[in-house]
Amino acid sequence: MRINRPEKVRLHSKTVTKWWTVGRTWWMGAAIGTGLFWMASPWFVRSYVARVQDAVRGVSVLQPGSTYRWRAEGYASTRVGPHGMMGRTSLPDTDASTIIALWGDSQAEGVCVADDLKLWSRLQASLRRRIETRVDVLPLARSGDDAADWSRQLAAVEAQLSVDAHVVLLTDLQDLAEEPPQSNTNADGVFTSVFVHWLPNFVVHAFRRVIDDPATGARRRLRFSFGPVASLGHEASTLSLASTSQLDDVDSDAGHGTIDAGLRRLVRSADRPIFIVHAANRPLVMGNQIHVDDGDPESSRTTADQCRVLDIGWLDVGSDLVAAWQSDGVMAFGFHHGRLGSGHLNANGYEVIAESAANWLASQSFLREKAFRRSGAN
Amino acid sequence: MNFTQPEFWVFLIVVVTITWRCRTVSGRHTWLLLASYYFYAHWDIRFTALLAFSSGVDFAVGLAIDRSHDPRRRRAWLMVSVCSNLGVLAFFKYFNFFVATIGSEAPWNIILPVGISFFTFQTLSYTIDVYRRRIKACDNLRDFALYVAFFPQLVAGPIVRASAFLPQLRRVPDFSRRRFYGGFQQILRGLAKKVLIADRLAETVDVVFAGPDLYASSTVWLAVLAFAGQIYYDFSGYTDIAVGVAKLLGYRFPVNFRHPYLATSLSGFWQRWHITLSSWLRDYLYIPLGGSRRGVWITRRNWMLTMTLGGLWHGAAMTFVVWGVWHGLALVISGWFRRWRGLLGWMGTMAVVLLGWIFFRADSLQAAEMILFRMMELGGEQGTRLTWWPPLTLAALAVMVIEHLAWKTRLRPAMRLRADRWYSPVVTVILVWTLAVTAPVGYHPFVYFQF
Repeated sequence: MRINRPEKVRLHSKTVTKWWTVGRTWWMGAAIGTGLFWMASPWFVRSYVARVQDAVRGVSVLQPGSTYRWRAEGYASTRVGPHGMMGRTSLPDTDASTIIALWGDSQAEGVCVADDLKLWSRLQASLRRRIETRVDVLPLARSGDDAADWSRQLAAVEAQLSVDAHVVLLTDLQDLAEEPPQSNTNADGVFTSVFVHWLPNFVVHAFRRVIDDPATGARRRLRFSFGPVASLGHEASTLSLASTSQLDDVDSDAGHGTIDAGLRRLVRSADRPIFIVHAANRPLVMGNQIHVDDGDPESSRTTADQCRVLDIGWLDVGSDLVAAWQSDGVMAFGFHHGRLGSGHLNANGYEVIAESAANWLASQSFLREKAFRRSGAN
Repeated sequence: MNFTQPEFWVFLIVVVTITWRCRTVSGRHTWLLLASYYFYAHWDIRFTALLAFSSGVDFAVGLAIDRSHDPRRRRAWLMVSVCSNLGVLAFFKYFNFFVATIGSEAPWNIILPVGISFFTFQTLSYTIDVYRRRIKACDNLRDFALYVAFFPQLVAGPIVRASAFLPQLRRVPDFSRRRFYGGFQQILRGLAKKVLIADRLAETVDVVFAGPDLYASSTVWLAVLAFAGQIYYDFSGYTDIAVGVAKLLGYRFPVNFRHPYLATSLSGFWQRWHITLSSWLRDYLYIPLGGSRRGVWITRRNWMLTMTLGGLWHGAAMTFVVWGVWHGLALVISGWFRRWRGLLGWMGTMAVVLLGWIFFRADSLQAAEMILFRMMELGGEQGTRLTWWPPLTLAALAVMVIEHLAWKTRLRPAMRLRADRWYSPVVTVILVWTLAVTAPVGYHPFVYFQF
């Protein structure tokens, strides 16, 4: 014992010193590692931008003047302009220009592509090439919006932003269905309002990834009860089945309200002409097949007929998207980062839609009316 | 319960905390046994009975063999174990396959109990080792049941031999900070392999293998390479997590992978890939068949039989049988090219392995044939094929190449991230953040769970 005691003490003290040194190294290393990650994170972590209530539109929009970085299937940064316009940083001179408001959801918002490749920009350029009068397109689409959201804003933007016509990009007919009024509370809203001001984007993003269920977007619910579930190997498909059934739920819910009612509400809300550009996901890659036909031609035809009755312009660009793929081999939907032939519209898709829509809109009378009014005023 | 599910991490924290508070062997093992059965019941409580049955039969058979001195009686008891284990496996895993092979309709919809291939092989190895008098029979049912059901290795291995695990149950292991830290690092490494590499590669593999006819030849090649990466990082990632969890609890598991894609011969590949299964097949199938002692042709026959049965072990489908036969044939043929080493040997080995993976991954033989045709630019219209180069898949493949090259150099010790190295916390924290921002995008089951 006598011999061992000093040795033990020495060993103990050495161990304490060593662990103290290691602990210090780890605190410093953790700080350096976090700092390095923070610096590199803009390359692969999307940004979170606070939302503010827009007085003109009456909805919450991303903070004007900020930059919104998207890092999913498309890698692009979007400058947020007045009234939450995505990619357009200034308002046009309303007296000198014909103003078109572009509505839609995330497909029209276009955060996956650079500002100059977005639909509003392409459409504006295409129209300016085709007609002599100056045309400006205001990108007012918001992720998650549908007919109810658009209807709420139409009258206000006509009055305060001098909008002369409305163009709606529609990729899913269900977005037209009349549903009980509810505001589009974007999932980011809660997080951004609470955390975005004092936490780096990557921390907010990590937090969301951990607490949210990726399949449903809702809060994760942990299961500690005994099985059975179908099988571990099939739990993924169980999840996707769950997602599918939710989609079915949405469809059946949408059945309560009708597309006709949604269209009528749009017409009631606006004084200016409305034009709908229908761009369903075509060609669509599913499993081992490429679908080039409209998945629901009956609904498309019925909707087109209803639009005609209500004096809403209707243009289906599906065949143009398919033709572009057949001639150039480029898909309108999907990205190399995600999956080709599904997901969001890419720059090719925007180009085809913009060209087709500009051709169609250029022949519409509202463009000539505005020019006529202007010349009369002069 | 999947190692990448949040439930598992809550479960693990509770289990590790309580396990190290148990001071007696009895308390510790009882607790770990309960935890392991809960882990299995989380998937399906009904099949815990199967686990208990398998443990009970082999425990009793082991004792009977050990206590008997009559060779015939010992052999008879061994047959009881072999028949019960293989019978359970044949019923749950292969019944529908055999019925379908003879052209009939399956009378029942049989659910494959997760991990059945692994725990039946473990218990089989135990009774055979007792029969061969390599080990003494375990006389404690609780310890034996824990050996069979120990949750880190229960559902997808590694296949731990009784001779390696049961001696560790004789006493409460000493807590070692170094081992605990090593376990943590190994878990982190496994998660990074699974979530950051394998799952990213899987996104491409799943899409292209679902419709290979739609894609350009280059994209199909990319998907085949991606699957080679996916299957390796998925399974070795799982093994790393399993070994790491065992280390957190104070136990050691055998090595299961040693960078198999660096092998310069096919036999070398099998000495580096799923080592615990390869050695199981060698010790309990290949050698009893005669191994390489009975002439060239018997040796080749044994290779063929072993690899074919190894293929069938992976799954009840003709694609797995063809995969096994292909590797058996390649082993036979590679005997004539023993001088091929270095780069030439590596290229030949990779060609065999990659071709084999096509059958392993394809849903059917027709699908495998389609993939082969697409790789060779044969069949169908060439016009509007999709050329898809997912950047994250390319990045994951680049990481795979770099990681393999680094492992061959002096960087290998650094990759262990020892606690007292300045770079360890930096790399660890970056990995943790990366996992947090990219990880739980969706539920991706481990590939080997289906076996």
